[in-house]
Amino acid sequence: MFAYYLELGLRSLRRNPALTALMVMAIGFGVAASMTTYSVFRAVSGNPIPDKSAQLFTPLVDNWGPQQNIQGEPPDALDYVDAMALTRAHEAKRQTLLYQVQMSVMPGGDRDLPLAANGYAVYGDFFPMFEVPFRYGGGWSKQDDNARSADVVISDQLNQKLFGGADSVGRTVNLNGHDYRVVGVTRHWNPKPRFFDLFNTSGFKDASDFYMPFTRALDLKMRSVGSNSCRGKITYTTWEDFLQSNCVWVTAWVELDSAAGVARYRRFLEGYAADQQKAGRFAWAPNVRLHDVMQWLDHRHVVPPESRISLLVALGFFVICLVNTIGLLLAKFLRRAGEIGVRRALGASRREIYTQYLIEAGTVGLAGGVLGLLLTAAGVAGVGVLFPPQIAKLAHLDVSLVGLTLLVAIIATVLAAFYPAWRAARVQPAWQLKSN
Amino acid sequence: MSLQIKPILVALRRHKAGTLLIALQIALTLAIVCNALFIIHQRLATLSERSGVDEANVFVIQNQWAGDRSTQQVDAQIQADMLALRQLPGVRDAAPISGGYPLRGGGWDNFVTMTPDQVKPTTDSSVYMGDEHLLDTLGLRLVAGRNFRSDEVHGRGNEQTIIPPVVIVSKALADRLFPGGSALGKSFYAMGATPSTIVGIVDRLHRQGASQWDKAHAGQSLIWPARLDDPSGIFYVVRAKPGQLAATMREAPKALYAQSRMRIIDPKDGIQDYAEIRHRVFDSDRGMGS
Repeated sequence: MFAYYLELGLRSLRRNPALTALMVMAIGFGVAASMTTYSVFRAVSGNPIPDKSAQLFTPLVDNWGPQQNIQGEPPDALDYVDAMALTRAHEAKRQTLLYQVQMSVMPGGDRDLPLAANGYAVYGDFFPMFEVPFRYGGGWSKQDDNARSADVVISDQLNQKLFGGADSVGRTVNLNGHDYRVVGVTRHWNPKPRFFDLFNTSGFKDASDFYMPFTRALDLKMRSVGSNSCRGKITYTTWEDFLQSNCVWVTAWVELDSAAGVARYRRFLEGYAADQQKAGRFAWAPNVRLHDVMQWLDHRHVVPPESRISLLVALGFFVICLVNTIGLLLAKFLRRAGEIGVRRALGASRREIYTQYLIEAGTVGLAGGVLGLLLTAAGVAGVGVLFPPQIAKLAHLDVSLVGLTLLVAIIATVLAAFYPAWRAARVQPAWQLKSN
Repeated sequence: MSLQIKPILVALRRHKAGTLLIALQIALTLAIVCNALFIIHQRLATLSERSGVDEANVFVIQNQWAGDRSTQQVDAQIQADMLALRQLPGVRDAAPISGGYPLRGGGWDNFVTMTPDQVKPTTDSSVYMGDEHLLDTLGLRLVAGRNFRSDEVHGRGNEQTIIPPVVIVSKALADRLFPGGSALGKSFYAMGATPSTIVGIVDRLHRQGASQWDKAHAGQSLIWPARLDDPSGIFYVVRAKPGQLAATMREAPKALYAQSRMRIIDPKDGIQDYAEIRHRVFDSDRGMGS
């Protein structure tokens, strides 16, 4: 019966071309607006590291206190003293500190001008923790961290510029006038959003060029080129004073495998802050946080408000289109009251009429979905008009979006048809036959 | 009239479903259109905010240093670069600027207090640093007091937090701290142990950021007389003579590279005029406003 009703439905699309066209357009535009904005929303609100997002945590310690912190929350990064204390305690299986650094690649070979390079100062654990993929070589060891080695991991892009894409492991690159040994070359790696550095970025940036040992960067007194936030009086006049200040600029990450491990680390953090209070460094009770990746994305409001607002506006528009469709379906179905009367008189049950008209609505939805798909494709291609380029280029049309577009169009139209089909099923055969 | 309305009402009552659908549609459409218009209006207001800068003639150079330079070397290079830029025929004036530049999209801001021991800040202010040429270069209008003297401008390293004894503030900050127009000659503290005395007030100077969080202190800015000798890099602002913006933007990097090649000025976006700067910083707002 389904196939027969489907055929009837498809045939009836042609019966009231104007009405049908109106409905198909309403659904098409509605679903396309929703799907286009959804494609952006999906891209910015996704999980950047699905298999580990529940094992990676960023610890925060309130070193500003209740009078200077932000509405009771600890600052979103650590000062040097706390960062180093957490690192020395080594309470997690893997852990890293990180901050943004900028260097210049000195001229060499056929380049007569220096090249800009943006990267991070990190610990060796950074690479396995965040599953950084390597083309050649790998990260560096704990011994290298401790030896404060002049090692560097470069991106495939920088490797292409400097070494023509060849295996450059073991070769030397001059950064800011100092020689570094290349120990690894990453494959293209740019998680979006950049969950591990939401203190300095809004989450969407071009891929980094290099990673260098944190310990080495400190030796060179390299300042963060990212954010640096301080409270109270800033009185430091030397690098050493700066390190002892309450300025926060270091992000820490730890990898914890089990719920018990997380609980233990939380206790450790509390204990650390309590010790600071006892030692007189903090004049307040422990106030610490331990956010996992998804909590951290949420806390830093990574999803741009624009993408949420435009999704809501588009969904609202879709609802209007659907209300419109209810009216149009009502007109289309009730115009055929005579036909329904005859079918009912010949023995069709209300249930059968109901089913038939729902399926007919489904065909309208399918047609609307196909139109919506074309418009969604156009919308995704033109999303740069609405969103900044860094966000716009994340949106793309894939199999799941195609499927979702068609599915949403059909389901929404069938839902819209509940009332019109119910009215159609309640047509009184006797009245219709008499008037004919 | 009531005679004509009655049959309509009767007809509406007989087609309850249709009436309800139309009413629902009108209500929903109005709700969404009104909200959307409100959002658009808000964003357009942000877009049209004035920066205080002579945007038609000013451009910004993002200059990154290459190699390992000491603070003293950086300071000497900045001064040499300034001489070279100011000598270009199309240039009216040029200045180094640190802390960011207006509409950069982010930069320095300091809490402001009236006494050195006050814990709760009075307000927050954008912080810029530059020399005695900065006011003329940006095209800021001095409404009270004076510009910096060259002997008040000193080079300072990244970690040398020396609070200059004099400061120029925007009118918005002056009025916030000293209502009644009496700000000139008064002092305040901006996260330092020593005060800065207001020697000049400019009509308008926009903050570096354009995002929502700093709306509360919109327009509150201060300028300290200093060259920040950051070994990573610095911004230069250049004001071209009328009609010579494009030509000067081509000449400026050549003049700088002639001074020293150990620098990086990104060929793609290392030099931007205010049309580009505005475009970049308001990207997301423009999307919602268009």
